[in-house]
Amino acid sequence: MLKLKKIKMGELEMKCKSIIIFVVIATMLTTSGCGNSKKSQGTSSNASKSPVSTTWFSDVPFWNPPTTWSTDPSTVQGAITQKTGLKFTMNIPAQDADAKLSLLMVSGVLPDVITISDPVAIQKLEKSKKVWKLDDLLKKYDPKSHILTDFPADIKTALVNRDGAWYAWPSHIISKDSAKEYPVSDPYYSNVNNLGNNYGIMFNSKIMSQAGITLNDLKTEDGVLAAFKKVNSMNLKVNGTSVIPMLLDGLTYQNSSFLTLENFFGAMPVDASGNYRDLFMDPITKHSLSFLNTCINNNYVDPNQLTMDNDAVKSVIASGRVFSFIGNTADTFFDANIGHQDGWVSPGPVLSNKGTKPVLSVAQQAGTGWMQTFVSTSAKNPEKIAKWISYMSSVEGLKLTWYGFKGKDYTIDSKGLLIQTTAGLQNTKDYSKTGTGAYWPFANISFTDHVIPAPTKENAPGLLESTTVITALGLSKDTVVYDSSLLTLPNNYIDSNSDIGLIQTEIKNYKLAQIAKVVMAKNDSSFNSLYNDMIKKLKDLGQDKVDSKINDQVQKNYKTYNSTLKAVNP
Amino acid sequence: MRKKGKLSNKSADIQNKAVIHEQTKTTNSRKSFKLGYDFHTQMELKLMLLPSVILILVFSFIPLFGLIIAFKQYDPITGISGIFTSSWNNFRNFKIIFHSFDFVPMLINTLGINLLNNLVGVPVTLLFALLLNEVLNSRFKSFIQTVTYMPHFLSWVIYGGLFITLLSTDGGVVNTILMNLHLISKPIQFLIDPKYFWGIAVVTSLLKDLGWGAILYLSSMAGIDMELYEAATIDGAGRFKKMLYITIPGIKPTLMILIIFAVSGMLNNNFTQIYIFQNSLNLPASQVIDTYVYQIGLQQLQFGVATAVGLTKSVFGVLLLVGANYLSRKLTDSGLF
Repeated sequence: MLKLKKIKMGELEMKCKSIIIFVVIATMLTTSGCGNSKKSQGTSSNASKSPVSTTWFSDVPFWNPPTTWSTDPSTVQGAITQKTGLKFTMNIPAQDADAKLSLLMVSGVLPDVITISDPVAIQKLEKSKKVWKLDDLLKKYDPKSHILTDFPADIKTALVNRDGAWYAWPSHIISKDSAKEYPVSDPYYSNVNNLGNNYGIMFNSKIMSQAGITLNDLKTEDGVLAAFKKVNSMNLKVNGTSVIPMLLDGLTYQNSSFLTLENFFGAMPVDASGNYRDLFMDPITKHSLSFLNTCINNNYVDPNQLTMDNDAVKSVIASGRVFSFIGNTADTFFDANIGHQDGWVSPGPVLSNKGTKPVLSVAQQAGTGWMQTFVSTSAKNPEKIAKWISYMSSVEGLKLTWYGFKGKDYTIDSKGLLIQTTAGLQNTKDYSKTGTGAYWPFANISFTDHVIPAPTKENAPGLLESTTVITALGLSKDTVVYDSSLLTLPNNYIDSNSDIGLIQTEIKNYKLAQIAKVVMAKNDSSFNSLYNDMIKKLKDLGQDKVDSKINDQVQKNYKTYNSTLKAVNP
Repeated sequence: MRKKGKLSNKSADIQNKAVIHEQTKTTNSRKSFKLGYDFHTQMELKLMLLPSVILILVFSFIPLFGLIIAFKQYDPITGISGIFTSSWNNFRNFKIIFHSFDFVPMLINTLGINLLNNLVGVPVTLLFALLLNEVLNSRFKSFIQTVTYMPHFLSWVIYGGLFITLLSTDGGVVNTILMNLHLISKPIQFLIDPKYFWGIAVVTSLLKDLGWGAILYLSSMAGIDMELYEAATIDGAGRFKKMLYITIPGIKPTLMILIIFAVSGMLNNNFTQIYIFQNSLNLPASQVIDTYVYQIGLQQLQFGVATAVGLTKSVFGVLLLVGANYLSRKLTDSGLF
């Protein structure tokens, strides 16, 4: 019996084996057939020009273009695909994007298109030689590109001075040469371009009128503190939640809200003789820190604000319960709340009760923009990418990406200026879904100031409100404007691995915790003690060495531009 | 009947022979160990172990060559080849760390949080396991076990986010309850004031891993011979005395191993947990070695310095492991090796 069982088992095993072998052979034949048909399909798909997928990486976490790329030609992305043959997979990490990029650099696998704003990451990327020089890319793959002839020469010079060669496409193009190519449609924009600054203070006019506060009451430090006290004591509410007297710019408050106060109170990164010094070494910094400390101790500012991310800041602003915001007003997207307008207004600078003059730094030489877009040398379709850059920066591309489709999203008036329709305005507001106005890396301020009329309450209330706020500081007769170009440094001036670079890293880490301690001090004596300790520690860490190194370049800049900068409030 | 008797005798013989064979085999294997002897007899077990071995080889052993970055001026833009081609800078990376203004506070935070975690976590988990073991209602026992080990499976991002919301000064449940009970007059800044950070780290860690940690003790308790408990009952011991004289000594080997692991891991923190709760305001109490390495190494691209810190930690970790194991053997005759 056992023997019979064994024979049957053996037969069964043989049968199983043969079935398995048959299946394997069949699978191989099938997949090879598929492969062949795919190849032939590939050939025919080349003929039908199916879009090529390209990766696009950015380190700006709050840049949120549509995450899913639509190839429908009636959408902005679809129209881009139709013109360029490319579709994009967006890779925008919510946090620590530069850390991710550095790991990608180590692995040698870079995204095809890289848009970054961090100076250290920019420096590393350029040094790696893993990105194209833009003119080489265009000359090789798109020799007829308009960029080779009409890119603003002054911006190109600034980029080459900074990086040693032209590697990156800069965002938010604006300069004297770009203004010659695209002159402003209205003198209104000249003011905005020359004196506009995102760093400022703005007040909610609805809450102001509820509290019986006028804009004149908010022009001085004491006036602002009195207004906060009044708003706090009145216990005002919006939709059942308490009004916030002052909102800082969340996690980035040190580089945003605090910097704005430094401008208001007149701190400058040079001394009376014109020698560079870190802004912290200006004694006015103590007053700026003291103002923040006063606001926190008097419950005008909730310390939790110092831990909020940008989404939380935007959300609180949109709730309508913020009385005032100080910092980078662009971070709040307040102008996007069309139809939910709180009527934001700005008194301009908040004048210090110590009598110092407010200052505003404006780059009077051509700048290098904000976001820098690079093309990786390992990108598989450099020709298509070169043509894509040419398209996105062309008149046709800018009109599509910033305003949408003619007829549907905008019309042209008798002066040839572009007027957005209601649908167009809504698409711009919903840019993260529609793509209209979403492609910030290709923003060209000179172009947009050239094609649209000056904003009015009727045609662009949000834009009017935002430009009124951002020009308030520059237009104030009290403000002293100085040229920040005199303080620019080449990108690789201080290597992060050098001794000075390491000192800078230490100082940066130290300031992060120490500033927080100082502004949270419980009383004046604690504040003074912490502030004095901070200044002493900064000197011990080597702040003087860093200042001396930077001063060498600043002195060279003075000679180059034949101009000198000296402290306005010595 | 005879046949049955014969058969039963035969089967008893076979059984006896099998037992003798097994005993001989075991004795032989103890007396003369031959490398690969067990290969055929334990092939299935070894195959099951293979994926873990490969994982450790690939992710822990092979990358060990990267440790030389700690002694080099490495720039990430040079890629993997840069690990070998970068210039040596001897101990400069180590000096940067040890001379950093943040080194001592960071070390204090690391050791302090870990010590507190272990001093609180180990006894509380053990006590929880002992009490759970005494629960007679199996349904209730299962329910408690399930509820307490479920948080272990939540990511720290979610779990930490939940606590951030609960502890917030702006409408957070904890502050709202305390204010409504008139225990405080204004909200406590749990997440901002550095003095609360260690407590928050310990409590959240305990709540998340209490049930999971208890599983080890419970499984160890399950292995204790029931006859001991019966004998104790006969001798008149109550539940508490049984716990004290049977259960705790019975799980001592497991407890010692966990204590050895805890001591050797004194320089390691739960990075995700600390990172979620950390902000610029509580940094004096929340900056630990792991977050410092992340900040310097990845965010500021100082790979050499980060590797130097990691290497130092590993060396001290090994010393602590060996030391803790030695002490454990001396004091309790049980240890890891």
